[in-house]
Amino acid sequence: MIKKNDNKMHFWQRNSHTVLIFAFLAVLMIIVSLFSDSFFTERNLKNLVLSAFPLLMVALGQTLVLLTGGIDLSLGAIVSLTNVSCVTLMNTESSVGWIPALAAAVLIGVLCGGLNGLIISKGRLAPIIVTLATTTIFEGIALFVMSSPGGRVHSGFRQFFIRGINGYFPLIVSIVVVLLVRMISNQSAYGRHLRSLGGNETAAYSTGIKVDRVKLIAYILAAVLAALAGIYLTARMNSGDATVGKNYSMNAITSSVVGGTAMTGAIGDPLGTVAGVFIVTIINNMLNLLGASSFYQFIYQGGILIAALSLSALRRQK
Amino acid sequence: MLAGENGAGKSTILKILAGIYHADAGDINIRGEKRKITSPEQSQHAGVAMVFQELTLIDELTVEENIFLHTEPRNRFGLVDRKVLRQNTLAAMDRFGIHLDPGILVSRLPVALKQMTEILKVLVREPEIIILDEPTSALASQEVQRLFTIIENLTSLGKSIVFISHRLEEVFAIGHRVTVLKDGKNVDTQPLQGLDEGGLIRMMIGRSLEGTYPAKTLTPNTETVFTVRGLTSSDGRLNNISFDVKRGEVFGIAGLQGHGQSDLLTTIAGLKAYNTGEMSIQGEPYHASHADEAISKGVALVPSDRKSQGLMLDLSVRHNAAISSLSKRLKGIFIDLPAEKQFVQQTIDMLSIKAPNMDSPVHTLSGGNQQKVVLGKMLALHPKVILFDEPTRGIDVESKLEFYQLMLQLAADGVAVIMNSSDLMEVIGMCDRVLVMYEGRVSGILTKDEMTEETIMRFAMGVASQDTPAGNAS
Repeated sequence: MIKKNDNKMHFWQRNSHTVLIFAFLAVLMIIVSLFSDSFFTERNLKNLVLSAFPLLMVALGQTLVLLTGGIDLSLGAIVSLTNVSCVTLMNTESSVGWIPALAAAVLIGVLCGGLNGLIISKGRLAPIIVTLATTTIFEGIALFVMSSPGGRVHSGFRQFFIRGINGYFPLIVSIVVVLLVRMISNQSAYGRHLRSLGGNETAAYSTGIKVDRVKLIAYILAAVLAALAGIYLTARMNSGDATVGKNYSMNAITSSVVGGTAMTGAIGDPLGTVAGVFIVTIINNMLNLLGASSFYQFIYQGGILIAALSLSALRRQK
Repeated sequence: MLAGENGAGKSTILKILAGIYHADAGDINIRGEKRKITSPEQSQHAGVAMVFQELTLIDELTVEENIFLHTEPRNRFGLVDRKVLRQNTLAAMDRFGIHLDPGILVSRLPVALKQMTEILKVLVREPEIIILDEPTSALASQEVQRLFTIIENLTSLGKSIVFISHRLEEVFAIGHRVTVLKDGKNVDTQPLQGLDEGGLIRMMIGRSLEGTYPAKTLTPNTETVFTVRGLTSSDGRLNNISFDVKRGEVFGIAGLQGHGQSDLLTTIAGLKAYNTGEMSIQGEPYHASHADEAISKGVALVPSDRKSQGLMLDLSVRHNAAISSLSKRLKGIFIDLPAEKQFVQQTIDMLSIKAPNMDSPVHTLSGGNQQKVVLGKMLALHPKVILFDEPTRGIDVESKLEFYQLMLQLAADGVAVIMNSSDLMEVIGMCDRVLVMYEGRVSGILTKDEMTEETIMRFAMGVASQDTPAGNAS
């Protein structure tokens, strides 16, 4: 029989990976601060949040999809597509000229995610293949919308996104989105359904879960989060670029897995993903500071993904 | 014979013999010779072979390809010599008295024949000691007989067999001596001659159970709680099925494997489509084309294969037990976590589920306890109709008894309880009436007085049939 009141053990059982990954993040930050005196300054930490923001959004979306046992390779392309659409549709003359652009970007996110979700759930096709195919479609449309980087961005919109609320606006949005995604995944009925799909789709179906709908919503949520990243990049880069999102899909998978989300689904915590995002971002920044070529960054990212996957495989064997 | 409750240590011993686990202390002697077994290879070398509960065949290969997997005869180009392969297969089949079509794809075989293939695959490696881990749990009685003939043939060839079973009558039917384990310890080894079922059960659980089946205190009345009329599926698996379930009765479904019993349950539960037919629950017309529809209308299925159909194995007991009834414990749009905890604790207490704690992944539980989690999940829905598909397959005697008592309780509470079982003793012990299926049709509905193993088998084999099944006046 189960002993009551062993809450400490329950907490550890549920959150061991998340705690460990945050401990790892803390150690990493301390190590980095040894090399750079300015690391723990307000300015630098703010910058860290600013540079991590788009990856954080995409990775949270990827985590939701991974929990269903699926994967979305097209999130990076959705970042690009929403970025160029947002810039193209922006009216820089009117003071409210950014509103339709923002609305359009979110709507495009919903449509892209809806397309992925519909094909995967109704067509009973493998998510990895479907999203690989839609990646090229979304990238193609993005290039069609804006064949070479450029465009003008509404200045009020840009100012607010980057410098609003004393420059804390991105941080506040991050916190709100993280809490929201975590509550959805850990505390809502929908989140339980999400994990059930990853745990055992047949069992989930025969338990009465509307499997298709849960999947569809997961891909839409992920794409909307990718659209947020695209909108944010519009403000930060002050222009549009149809290839801006290229590396986000891969980095988002790495961040989620480093953060403890299982590629096989069901297991994971958005908080862990947050730590994963900062670990990936800090290491990237460090390599930048050291002047390492971006080729090395790709190599290390592949390496870190394999390391994280091996770790989670080891955990499963125990 | 090796017997004992789930979690008694039977599988662990076998895995040590097979070289999958390592023993910390103790000796293994084979033919009087001390052997060290620390890897599957050494185990094979020592002449030990094991037929696992879970099949290890490759569906996309043929029977003969599976049997000689990794030991295929080669021709001089290093390719598989199909002619010799066929000859060797037929020779092995003759020798061991197992006859199958060697060229058929394994995926097209029913479970029973897959098992035969699995056994043959082990036998061609000429082991001295053959371990069978619950080989009959997926077999119907007629197939069990066949397996027993094969085993007798093997013992006459001088092989030693270790046989694990949860079905007591099998222990007596095929065993010479029995070793009972409990909590990882040896209880006793006794010759089976002079031992009776009661005695064996006492050895297994350390106390006596009144009987294998609980006594019924309630006689079903005439009120009908669930009706099926003319249920027919387009794939021909179900043909004009009609029956009624009365308040307070346990209604059985029996038949030989593959005659539509599972199809009947999954169709009622909305997992399979049907062409024509009508159903009603307590007088209300009922139709479901999806599982969620069936569940919302009060029809719950406890599936036959808990691992693939019932549970999310990596997720916690809590997640699995609560998943079906989340909407009952919402605070706004979020789950009321304390209420959920309380609910899961109640389920655990009510069904006496043994688990380290409610956050443990379900795969860490024993089979019987896993099955209880599935049941708890379904009971949380307060179903009006509950369908049990092979509910006690692979679970221990004590859990079985608890399951039976729960079924009776549900029936007494007015839930329509329908149980499909290939264990005839279980059907006779538990059911007030049994519907016997043959080729997707109702071959007969037998009352308690008419039920014997023989009559059920006669109906199941299509030898006997009732033109108008009892209890169906329409």
